[in-house]
Amino acid sequence: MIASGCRRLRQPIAVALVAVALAGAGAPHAAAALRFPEDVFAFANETVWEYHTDAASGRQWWTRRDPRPPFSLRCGPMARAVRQFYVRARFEPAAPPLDEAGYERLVRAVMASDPRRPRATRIVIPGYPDLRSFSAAHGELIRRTLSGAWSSQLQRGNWRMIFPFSRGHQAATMRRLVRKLAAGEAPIVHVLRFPAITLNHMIVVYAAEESPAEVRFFAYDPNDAAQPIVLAYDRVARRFSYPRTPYFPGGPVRLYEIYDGWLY
Amino acid sequence: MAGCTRALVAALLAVATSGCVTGHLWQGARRWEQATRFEQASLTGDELLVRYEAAVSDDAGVPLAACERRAAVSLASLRAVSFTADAATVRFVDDPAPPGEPVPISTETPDAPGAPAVLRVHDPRVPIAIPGNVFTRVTRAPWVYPLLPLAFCVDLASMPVLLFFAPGAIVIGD
Repeated sequence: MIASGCRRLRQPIAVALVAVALAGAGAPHAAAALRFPEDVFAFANETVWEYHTDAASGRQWWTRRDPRPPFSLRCGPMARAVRQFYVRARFEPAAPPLDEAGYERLVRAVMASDPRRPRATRIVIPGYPDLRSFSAAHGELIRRTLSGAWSSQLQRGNWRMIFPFSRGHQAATMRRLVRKLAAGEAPIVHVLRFPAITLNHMIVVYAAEESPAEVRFFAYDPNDAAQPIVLAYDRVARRFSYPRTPYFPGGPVRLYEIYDGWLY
Repeated sequence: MAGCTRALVAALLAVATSGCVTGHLWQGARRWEQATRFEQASLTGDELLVRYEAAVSDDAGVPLAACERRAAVSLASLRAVSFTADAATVRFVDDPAPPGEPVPISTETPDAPGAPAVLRVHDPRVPIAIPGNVFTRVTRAPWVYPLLPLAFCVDLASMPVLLFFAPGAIVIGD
């Protein structure tokens, strides 16, 4: 997928901001759902295209990478898998580790679970404290188990992207994301500029910070394992902006939630 | 009569399903005016009159022009306990010289990339620093209006095809 980075939101900061939010309405706040970087992959999806931006005009063009990166076009499967690990797996660092075949069995079980419906029972992954360290040690196994680019192209909610997005829809999406984050969920969103194809990407939102002017959403970008990105929602314009990244010059985008309900 | 009913149902269906050609055309004609620099302000009654420079961009964020604008912000709307920018009452005005008592102001640029400029009024009657996006205005490029009937006709023809294939995409897709 074509697709971004900013700053690191540490857990204590998020907790402190939640405390501030509880102390007074209107104050900046954030609710921690998924943790970054602990609950995301240690490796990144690589882009098929090499992106170039003209600094003066902001015009963007791209050329094909040669040779093609071996692990690419996987933003959708990676975002989905991060959610699956978040809702379906539990890491037990003190438990004795398994061999490669044992881990493969567990990873396949997590990947086969329904990302739309969390289950009460969780698959226990022994020997590691979190997904970050597990994926650093077993990156090849996870890359092999992740579904291919087809699962992004055939994502159930793709029908929505061809229809226009009203400002009211984007405002409702913002409220929905804030509500879900407060409930500890990790919403996956499809970010796009259709009919332009300069951005068509899937990311996992994990925290929000509100100010009088904006709501800033912190998200895991499968294209960047090192740092999260910040999606800014302008309260008056009622639109989201995506930051400048190596693959996108930055600017307004539209988004909707996927892996949510039977239509998306 | 029956033909008339069918045409009406088809028209309503096209409207209700937010046809892509009409919708994208309407969306593409959006013009955004966003305050970039505040130049002058004055207080009159319970309003703050502001003269500022605005950047005009299209829906993709491509800059098109810069212009000078004036607007009046209700001070009462700024006094809300949990103020957010969308709660401000703003009235755009055309008067070239805003009346009232001039007050000193400054424009602040926040650290966060892409965040709107902030108007700081150095007067105790203005209770807070005003986020620049309260002055954001959305308009439509005039060329869109004559094209709307044509786009609507295209949608009337294409919508049944889209509706036919949409369930397939949902069933087959993950």
